[in-house]
Amino acid sequence: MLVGILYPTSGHAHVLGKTPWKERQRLAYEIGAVFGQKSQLWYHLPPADSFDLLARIYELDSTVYRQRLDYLVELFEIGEHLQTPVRKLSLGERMRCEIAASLLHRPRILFLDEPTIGLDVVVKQRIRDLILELNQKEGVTVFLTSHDAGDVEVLCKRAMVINHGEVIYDGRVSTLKRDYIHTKTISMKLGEAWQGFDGSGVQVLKQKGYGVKLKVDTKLASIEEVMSQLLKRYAIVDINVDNPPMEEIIARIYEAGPSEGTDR
Amino acid sequence: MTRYAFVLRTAARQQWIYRAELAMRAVQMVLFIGVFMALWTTAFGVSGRVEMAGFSLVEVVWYLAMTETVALSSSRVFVEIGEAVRAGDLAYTLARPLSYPFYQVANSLGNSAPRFLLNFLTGVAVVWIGMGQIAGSLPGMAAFVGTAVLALLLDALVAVLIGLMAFWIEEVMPVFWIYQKLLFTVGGMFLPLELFPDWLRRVAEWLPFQFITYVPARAFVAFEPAFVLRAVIGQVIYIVILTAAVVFVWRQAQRRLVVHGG
Repeated sequence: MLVGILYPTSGHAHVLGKTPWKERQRLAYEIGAVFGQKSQLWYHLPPADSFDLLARIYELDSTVYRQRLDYLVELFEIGEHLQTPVRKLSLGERMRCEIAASLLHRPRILFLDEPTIGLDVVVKQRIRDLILELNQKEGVTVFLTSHDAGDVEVLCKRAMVINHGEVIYDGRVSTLKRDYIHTKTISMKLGEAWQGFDGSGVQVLKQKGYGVKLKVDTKLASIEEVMSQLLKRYAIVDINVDNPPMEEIIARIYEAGPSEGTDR
Repeated sequence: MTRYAFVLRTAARQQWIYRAELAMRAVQMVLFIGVFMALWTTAFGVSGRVEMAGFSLVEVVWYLAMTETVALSSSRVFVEIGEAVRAGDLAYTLARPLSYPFYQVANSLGNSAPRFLLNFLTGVAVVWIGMGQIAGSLPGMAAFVGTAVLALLLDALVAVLIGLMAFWIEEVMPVFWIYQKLLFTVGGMFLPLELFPDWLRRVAEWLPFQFITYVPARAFVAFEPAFVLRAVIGQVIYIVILTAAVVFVWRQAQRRLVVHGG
């Protein structure tokens, strides 16, 4: 809606002083958007063609465009993918091209809708780093929507949690983290039988055979500490650390009451 | 305007990637024209006539090859629009300084362009070899290309209108089938309007469909400046009407837009 795609049933909004659904085309020059579940690149053509088209659409001067493209290609390390048809790129490669494409016209605000969806941990981290770098170097305001609490944790300073159209949290991410995202789950596959864990802040959620799921309260125990102790004590075949799902965070905010924890 | 031209160019380039599909289209042209040649040779043979409503056998076959050239170049962009509406994939195009429906018109023309070129060359080659004679003339050829371009623009506008109906109805394919059948009949795709009964011909002449298939083919086989002029005026009038319709429908559609998975 803030990009100007959707019409509101009621109410008003301003983005860079413009009402998005009334001045969509003019606003479009100043904002960029990436939708993690959709693609803006022409599927059968190499990304370079899509970039050229976007340069025309945004009426970029050709030398300005060349410089900008070179810069983004270097930053996102997509040089070798420029001439490969999009359908042959991996999701991570494609997503880097998608974000680069949305930045060609130097938007002042970048809307990111689930940019890391479906990506593996390493690529996810890579994308997050790039977004952060961009924000710091170019001063682009990043407007991120995500179900991945990890994205928000790493990238944002201020967060809003919206559930069924209602703002249930609006405040600093650090506060959100301290109050609601203070647990992590560790899922492990052991090479031996589970014999328990000594230390506070760790709770066994599930244990079946050699598979164990732990919940760590990061207020009471640091995740590094717990991990190193586990590694010392057990032969571990596989291990995964996850953030609590958004649903759980929302449930916790509701439990705490609507206004608490909101500082602005 | 230049940005829409560039959309057209990019769409044409993408179309060029599907070379196997383009080749299949050429095969389709060969088959259709082959059937028409056999059918009309028999029809003329059985009736013993050398002319039907002013058309000789050679002219009828050339006429049909040209209507097929235009009809088989249709882009069917409504499939893409329908899917985008259902899946909410309009999001990206909508976030750009562009008009979505006219972006799709340009996309449609870009898809049609390489097909048109190929269909035209195939059609000419097959009929020339099959009939051993050329009907039409150089000015006829020029008039054909000019009116065919306008015809494809009309077709693109109709396709976008059909696609936008996806905002109201789940499946737009049946609407396309109706449109296609109207082209077959009152569009003169299988039969020049001259062979119609008088009353039907008069009705057909007022409808937009003949401007897409009949007009370019007729301009090719029987070139008359007055006919071409009248036809072009008619095409332009319908382009204006359909453009207005696209703008109007799009305005209504925007308010119904839902982006899924967003």
